[in-house]
Amino acid sequence: MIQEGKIGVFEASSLVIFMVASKALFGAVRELVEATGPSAWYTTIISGITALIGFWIIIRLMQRFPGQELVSILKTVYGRITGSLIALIICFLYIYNAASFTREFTEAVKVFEYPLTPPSFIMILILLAVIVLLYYGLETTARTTSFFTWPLIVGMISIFFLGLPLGKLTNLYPLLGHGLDRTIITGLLRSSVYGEVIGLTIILNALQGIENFKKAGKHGIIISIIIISLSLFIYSLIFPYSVSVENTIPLLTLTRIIEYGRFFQRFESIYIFIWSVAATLTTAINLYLALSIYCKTFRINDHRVLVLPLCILLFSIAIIPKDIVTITSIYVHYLRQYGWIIFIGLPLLTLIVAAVRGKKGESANA
Amino acid sequence: MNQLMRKLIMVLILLTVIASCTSGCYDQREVDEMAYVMAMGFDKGTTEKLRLTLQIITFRNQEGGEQGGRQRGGQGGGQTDQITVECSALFDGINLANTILSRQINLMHAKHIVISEELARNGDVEKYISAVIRYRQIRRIMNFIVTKGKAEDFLKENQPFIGNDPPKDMQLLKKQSAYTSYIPEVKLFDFYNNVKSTMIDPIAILAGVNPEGNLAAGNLTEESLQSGQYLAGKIPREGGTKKEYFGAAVFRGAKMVGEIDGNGVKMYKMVHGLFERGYFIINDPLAPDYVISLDVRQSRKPSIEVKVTGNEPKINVEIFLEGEILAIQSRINYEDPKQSHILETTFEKIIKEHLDSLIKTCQQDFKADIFGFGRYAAFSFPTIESWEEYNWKEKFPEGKVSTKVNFVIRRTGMITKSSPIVPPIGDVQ
Repeated sequence: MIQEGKIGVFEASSLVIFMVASKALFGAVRELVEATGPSAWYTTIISGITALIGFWIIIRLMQRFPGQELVSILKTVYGRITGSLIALIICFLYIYNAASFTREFTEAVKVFEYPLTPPSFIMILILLAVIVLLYYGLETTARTTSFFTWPLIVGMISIFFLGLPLGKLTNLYPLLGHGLDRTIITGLLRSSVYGEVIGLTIILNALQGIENFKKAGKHGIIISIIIISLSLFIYSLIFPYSVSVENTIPLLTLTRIIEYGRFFQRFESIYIFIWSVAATLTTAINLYLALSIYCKTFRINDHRVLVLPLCILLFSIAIIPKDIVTITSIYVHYLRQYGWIIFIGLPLLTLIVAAVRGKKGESANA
Repeated sequence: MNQLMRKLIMVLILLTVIASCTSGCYDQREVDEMAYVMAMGFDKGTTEKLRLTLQIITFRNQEGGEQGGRQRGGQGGGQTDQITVECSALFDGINLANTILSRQINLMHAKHIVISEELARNGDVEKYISAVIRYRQIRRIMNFIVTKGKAEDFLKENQPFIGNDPPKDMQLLKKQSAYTSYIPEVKLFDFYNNVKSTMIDPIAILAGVNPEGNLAAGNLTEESLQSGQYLAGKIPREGGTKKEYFGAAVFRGAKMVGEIDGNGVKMYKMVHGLFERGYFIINDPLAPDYVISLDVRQSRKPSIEVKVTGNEPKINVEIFLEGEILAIQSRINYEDPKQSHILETTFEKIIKEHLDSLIKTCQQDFKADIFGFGRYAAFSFPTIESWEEYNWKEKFPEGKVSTKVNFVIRRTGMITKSSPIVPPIGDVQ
C-alpha cells in the first residue's frame, strides 16, 4: 500500500483551504454573482452550510468504517469491481478539477500578464513545480501548502481591506438579488464548491485518527466560507451588478483599481503572488489526490512512477478547451453545478447502501 | 550515482523554472523599448471615424531645459510630445502610431482619457469605452475628462506649470478636486460603473483651454455664490498653463446632455458625501456691498431617503455642513453667537437654493440622476427584476425632492471678534 506519511490538523485544513478558497481568486466569483446578483455573498454561506451537512454525512460514513479510507470503503460496500470503478470516477474528477484549474489560471495569466507566451509554456512551468511536489509525496505537498496558508489568508484579507473604501453599500441592493428561491437553489447546488473536502477521506490514514479528520474538515470548510463570502461581499460592494458580471477575474480587477495616493497603487503584485502559488498548489493537491486514489485502487505501492504520466494526462486534458469561455462556462460551470452528486451524493448513497447491506468496518463490527 | 543524477535533474528543473520566471520569456520587454502614453484624446475624425491623440512621455529635456519644452508642448514642460492619427477605432490608431515610433506604445501608465465634447454629445463614448475597459494595459484609475473644443488641442496644452513632471501634474488632479471642490473626481472606474448602472447617471470632469488675455472676460453676477459660476475654459485669468478643469459634463446613459458649473460640482459632492472642503464667498446679509468668505466642510455624510410609492418618488435630502470664517469685509461681529445664526441661516438658504436649482435642472433639463438617488430607491425593491421593472430613470424626473441644509460655524479663524476700523478724523458719520 502507498506510504503517505503523517500530517497534522493544520496541514490538512490548509489542503482544504487551498482546494476550496482559492476558487475565489478565479472566475468562480463572477459566475456566482451572475447567477444570483448582489445576494451572492450569502448564497455561498448557504453552499457552505450544505457542505458542512454533507461533511457530517461523510463523518458518519468514516465512523462506520474505522481505519479505512474512502477507496477501501467503496470496495467493501460495493464490491471490488464496482467500488474500484466509483473510485476511478472520483479520481477522474480530481484530474478534471486540476486540469480546469490549470487552464483557467493559464488563460487568466495570458489575459492579464503574458499575452505573448504560449499557454502550453505556462502550463509546463506550473507542472514542473507540481511534479516536484508530487514526487516528494503528501507530506511535502501538505507542508508546502501549510507554509503558504497564512500568506494566502493575509494577502486576501489585505486586498479586501484596501478595497473597502471604494465600496458602496447601495451596491448590495436589491438585497435578494434574482429572488430568494433562486438564491437558495443556487446555494444548495453550488455546495460542490466546498466538495473537495471529501479528499480528506482519501488520505485519512495520514491524518492520524478520525478526530483530526473531523477538525481539519470543519476548520477547512469554515475558513473557506469566510474567505469566499468576504470576496463576494467586497466585490459586490465595489462593482455594481451590471459591471460585476463582466470581469474575467473579479478580484484581480479589484486590485487594479485600488490606489492610495500617487505611490500606493498597482496592488495586483500582492495578488499575482498568491494567485500563482494558489494555482500551483491547488493543482498539486488535486493531482495528488487523484494519484492516491489510483494507487489505492490498483494497489500500487510507489506513487512516483505515476507522477509523470499523470501530469502528461493533465496537460492533455487542460489543453483541450478551445478558449477561456469554454473553460469557465462549460468545464468549471458543470463541475460546480453537478459536482455535489459526487461530493455529497456519493457518501450519502454509500452510507445508505452500507446500512442496507449491513456492511461495517472491522472495529465497528466488534 | 543514481542519487547524484536525481539531484542534478532536480537542480536543472529548478534552474529552468527560475530562469523562465525571472526573465519573463516570451513577454519580456525592456522599459526603454516602450513609448509610455500619459493621456489619450478622442475626437471626431474628419476622414475617419475617430481622431486619436496620444500624449507620450519623451524623457527629453530631463535636465530641465526650457527651450525644448516651449517648442513642443505649450508653456513649460517639454517632457511630452503628442501623436494624432485618424483611425476607425482605438487599436487601429495605436497600430498607426506604432508605425511612426520605433518604440512600442504602452498604455500602462496612462493617466487621462480625454473625450471631446462633440464626441460625448453624439453618444459615441459608448463605442470607445468598451475597448478602453477591456484592454489589460489600461487601468480604470485614469481620470475621465470631457473637454470643451478638441481633445487634441487640450492635450497640446496639457503641460505642467510647475516642475517638469507631466504624470505628477495629471495625478495631482485628485488633490485639486479635493481642495477646490470645483472639479469632480471621476475615474474611468466611476464613469463606467455609473454608465452601466440603472440607478445613477454618470458625470465627467469638464476641461477646456483658456484663451490668452481672458482676464477682462469675467462676468461675475450679483449671485450669492460667486466664482463658482464658470465652466472650464472661461475663468477670467492671466498666467499659468492654458489648460483648465472646472465643472462637470453630465451624461444620460452614454450621451452627454449638459454641463454643470463649479458651484454645481460643489452641490453634487455634498449630496454624494464627497465634499471635503471648499471656499464660499457669499454676500454679507447685513451689509450687501460686502462679501463674507467661508471655509466649508461636510460635517457628516448626507441623509438621503427615497420613498417609491406610486409613480412619483419622494426624495428627502439633508446635508450637514460646518465652516470656519475666513473673512468678513464689513467687520460686523458675526463671531458673536447672537449674530452667527444670521450667517448660518443665510448660508443654509443659499446652499439650499443652489441645491434645489441643480436638482431641478437634472430632473427637467438633463433627465439624469447624477446624484444616485436610484441607489436609495433600490432599497425598496427586493429583487433585480422588480427594480428593473420599476424603471427608475423614467421616474426620476417626476420625483418630488425636498432638501434641507444644516450649517454650523465651528471656528472663526484667528480673530474671535470683528470690530470696525476707526475711520479717518473728519470722516465720522
